[in-house]
Amino acid sequence: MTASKKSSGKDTLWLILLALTGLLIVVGVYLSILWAPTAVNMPTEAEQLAQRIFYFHVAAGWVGYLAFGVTALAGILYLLKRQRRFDNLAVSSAEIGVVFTAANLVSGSFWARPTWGTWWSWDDPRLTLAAIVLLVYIAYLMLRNAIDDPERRARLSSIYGIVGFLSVPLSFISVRIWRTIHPAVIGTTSETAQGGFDMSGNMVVVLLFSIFTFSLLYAVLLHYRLKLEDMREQVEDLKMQALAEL
Amino acid sequence: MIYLAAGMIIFWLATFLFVWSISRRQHKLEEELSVLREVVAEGTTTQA
Amino acid sequence: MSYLRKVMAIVWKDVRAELRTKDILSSMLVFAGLSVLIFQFAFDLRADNVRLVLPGVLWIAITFAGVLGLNRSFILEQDRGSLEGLLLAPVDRSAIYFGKLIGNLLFIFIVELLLLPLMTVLFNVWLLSPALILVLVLGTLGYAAVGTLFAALSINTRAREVMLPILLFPVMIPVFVAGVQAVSRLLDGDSLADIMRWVQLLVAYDAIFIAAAMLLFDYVVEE
Repeated sequence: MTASKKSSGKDTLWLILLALTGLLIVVGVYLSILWAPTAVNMPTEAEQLAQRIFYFHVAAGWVGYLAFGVTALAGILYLLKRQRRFDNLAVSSAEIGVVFTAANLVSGSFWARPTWGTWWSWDDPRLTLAAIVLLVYIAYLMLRNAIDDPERRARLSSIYGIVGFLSVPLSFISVRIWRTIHPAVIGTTSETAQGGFDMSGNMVVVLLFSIFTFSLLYAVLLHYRLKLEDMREQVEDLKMQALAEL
Repeated sequence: MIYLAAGMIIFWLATFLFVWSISRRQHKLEEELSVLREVVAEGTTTQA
Repeated sequence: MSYLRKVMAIVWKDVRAELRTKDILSSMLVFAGLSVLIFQFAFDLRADNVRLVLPGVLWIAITFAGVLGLNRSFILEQDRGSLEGLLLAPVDRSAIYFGKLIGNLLFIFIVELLLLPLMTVLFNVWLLSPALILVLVLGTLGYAAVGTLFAALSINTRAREVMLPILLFPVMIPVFVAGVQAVSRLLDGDSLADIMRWVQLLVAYDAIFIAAAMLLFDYVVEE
């Protein structure tokens, strides 16, 4: 009796957080589109409007990296403790990370198009890095897909998650050096490289708000995705039991 | 303008689809779970 | 038996097996040569644009031939069942990793040793400078370090050898970028001092991933 009360208490907590996240998202959209000041050195109106994508492009990217870090960390914990819940955490975080990283790339393209004239540019190290991270994520998920035994799947994907995560900073450095030596072909050579603009105070506020909102969204999605994974585990266990009794 | 709109719409659509995918998988698993629970319960009763 | 002796024993076992059939090495060599040929037709490598594309062609040939060698080094073990035998031996698991790594390195180096003069002759570009060879060695070391670990990993999956390139390529991008850029600069006439940033990156990559692979290899072959 108390157990179901407790779990429903937690469930309502997460529902509240979900609702809160939804609210913050709406506020965030208002802030980025209407409240944030217009960027100063953007020549055309199209560019100025597209620049507003920046607020959730960066936030999505940040969450993508965070999710990957969580996956790698969960992998380490699994290898040390061998508890299934760490592997559940790893795969849940990886799935969410893929979504956010892909969103980072797509939103980056929508920003790039009016700003640089192309949908994509290999000259921007951060966009290139996001593409690399996406590929590592996808490889991680494909690896998991190719192993049927749960223990082996957890163990081997933990290893790949850790090594993959380690390679990201090195990939970033290599792409960075590569692109600072050769001047950006597309025109702007500023430090931020993405149609560089100066960040005023209010812009920082909106950016931080976006990052916070997305982090909350990540946490909420992670919770529900984890529940799904726990259920999967239960199904597997029950299947084994049912088979054993045949 | 259209880029901003398109960018945002695609992003939130993707998020919504993801959430929907989670909930759909959850329902499927819940069904599977209840079926399996019945099977296991039957198994134990016939053993008893 | 000392640690080093055990490592060399594993290397020697693989080398001896290869000397008998020469399967792996010959297919690696042929594949590397074919890659160069295909790129010649793909990009029409005439004298004026050769220097632009050559570093990439070199590294791609090495990468693809390397995948072949990395895969077969573990697949043969699995097919013959000799991996279990190795694991039963009273040997620290990391010795197996280093033994396999050195074996793989040996094979890839042999391919590179033959590829460099071949490409020098075919494209009339001097590829045999010590600096270039150093870059190649450092890059190959990092590539093989990660590749050996991932090869052991991939054979445990349903897709077996197909999994290796998928896992390996995104993670070895720093090696690829650094390797191609460094070779490109060297061909343009830069000295070793000019490409120190790339050399440092390669050394860092090698150190980090040899250490990581050595630690994690245990977990791959646990069963």
